Amino acid sequence: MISLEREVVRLRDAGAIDPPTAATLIAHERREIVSVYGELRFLTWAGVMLIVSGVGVLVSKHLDKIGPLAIAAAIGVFSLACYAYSFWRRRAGRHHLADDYILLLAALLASADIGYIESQFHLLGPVWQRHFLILAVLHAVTAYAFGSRLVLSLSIAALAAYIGIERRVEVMFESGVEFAVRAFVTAAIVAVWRLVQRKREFNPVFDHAAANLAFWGALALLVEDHTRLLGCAMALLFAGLSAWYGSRQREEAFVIYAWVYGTIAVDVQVCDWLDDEALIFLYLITSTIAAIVGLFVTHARMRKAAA
Amino acid sequence: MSWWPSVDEERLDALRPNSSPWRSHGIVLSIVFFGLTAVAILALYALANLWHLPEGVVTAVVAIAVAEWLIHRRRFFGTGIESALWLGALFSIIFALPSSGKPEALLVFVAACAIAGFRVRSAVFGCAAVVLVLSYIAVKSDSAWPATAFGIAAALAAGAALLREWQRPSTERLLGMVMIVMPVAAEFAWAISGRGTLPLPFAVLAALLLALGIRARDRVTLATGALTAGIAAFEARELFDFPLEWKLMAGGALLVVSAVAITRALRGRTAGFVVEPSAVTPYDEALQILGTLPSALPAPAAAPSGPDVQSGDGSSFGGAGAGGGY
Repeated sequence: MISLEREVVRLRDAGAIDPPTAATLIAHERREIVSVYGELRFLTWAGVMLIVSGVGVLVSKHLDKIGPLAIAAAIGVFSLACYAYSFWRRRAGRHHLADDYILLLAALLASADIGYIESQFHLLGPVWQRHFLILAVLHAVTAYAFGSRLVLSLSIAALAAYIGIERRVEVMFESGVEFAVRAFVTAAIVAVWRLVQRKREFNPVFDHAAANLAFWGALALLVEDHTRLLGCAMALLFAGLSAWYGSRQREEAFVIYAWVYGTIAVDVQVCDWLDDEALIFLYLITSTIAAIVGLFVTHARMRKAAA
Repeated sequence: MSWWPSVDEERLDALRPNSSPWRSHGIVLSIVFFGLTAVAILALYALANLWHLPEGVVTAVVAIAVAEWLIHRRRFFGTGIESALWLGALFSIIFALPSSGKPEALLVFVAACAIAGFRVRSAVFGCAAVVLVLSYIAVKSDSAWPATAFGIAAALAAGAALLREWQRPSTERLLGMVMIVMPVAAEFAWAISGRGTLPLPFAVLAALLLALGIRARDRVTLATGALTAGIAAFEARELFDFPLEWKLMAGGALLVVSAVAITRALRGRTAGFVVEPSAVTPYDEALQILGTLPSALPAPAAAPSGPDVQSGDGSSFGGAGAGGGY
């Protein structure tokens, strides 16, 4: 195992880091202090995902034996118990690293239960899609009550499902314009939501969701001949916005989105214009090198500005 | 002229990224640069093929020349670009060779990964070479035992090697990656053979790695021990005669309870293993969000079964693409 103690000591002696920071770093290098917080969080998350998977299999396999009402009631009770536990912990002012995931379990079970009830009892009839809206609202309220970004991401996913954004990638290529419009509508709602809400810690979730939805919409427009140019233009517009936002906020991911999605859009459009295969390959080599240089320079400037 | 960062430079960069004159990137940016460079190499290969040039040699010469220029003149090391160029160059030569269809072709890929991994000191390429050796053993052998045993032995050897002090962080990363990946590769080799379950070797490996991890207070070894314990539990699934869903739920509950129990046991500790909440990075959370989303809207919710609701007629808004009447 490596120990960087001698480098820490050298930096401390050179005045590059203060003695208390150096002492903490040395303790870590000597493995006198080893935090397993991240590992335990991951363990709990994996446990929750296994439980939810088990519930999914239970629902699909035992419908005939147990009956829909019993399944719906059991999952509902379990979900409510998890919500109740989370409320109790919050009111007691205690916090444990497992609490975030018990809340996540409650939300995922609620999703499963509401979806299951709707599929079995058709309570909403022809407007069955609205159960996604109910889920979006439920998860949003929970996310704000507990300050949970994980649950907020479930709310945005439910909202996207309500508007018609499916999780299957092929849908994006099959339904072109329709998918694009739905993606733009969802991105706009998420962007407005982000502007009117007050929790700063939620902003990254909204930003990434809105950016990716908008780019997916633009890429979906590239599928059909008559909308390709529009899709390319929109992708470039979003790329400009994303690069500007990323540089301003020093968020590397948005600069990457800008260069990657922007390059894909331009490449698709230009390759469509070019007839000759050799020209297409020559263009791809040139455009990819340009994207690499562009991203490299942008990133270097961001790093320099941050230093 | 230096071929790669010196030991001191590498160590300083591990403590404070980009302290040395060598340019490197974080994991996400490196992956993006690797992908973009791979696209350029593929286009060059295709262009050379189209122009009836020796595509493998042309691509390899250009890619290695550019990679070496970037390393020597621009001091690129760990940017994702030079590693993609080196691997792409060697793979180009291999793909241009006439295909024999023999398993020994895997050894050529082993050599390519090992050479590229050595040149750019990449743990991923080095580990890929070891995984390909396991694949070769699996293909050559009639039984799944040799490949599985090789995977388990490689993981254990890497874990033992990590006990000594290494000077270069890249060497430590290689050993860590081999230790993490090989139990999974061994399990894969065993699972595709369809020869029943094999919990005991994985359970022994898990116990050894956990013991090593606790003794050395090494998080990577501990995490590998936990992962291998998960593989052993998966392998032991047929020993318990109750349905899959209960196994999943019981396993999940066991993980949550274990995490809670360990947290309680470590609460208040200020030395040794602690649970101070400083280790969570934005990438950890992003990965968890991405891992959770597939379970966010379970299948029953997306596909109501009633004939009256399948049509989606009369919907005032989209809804998973069904209505479309907005």
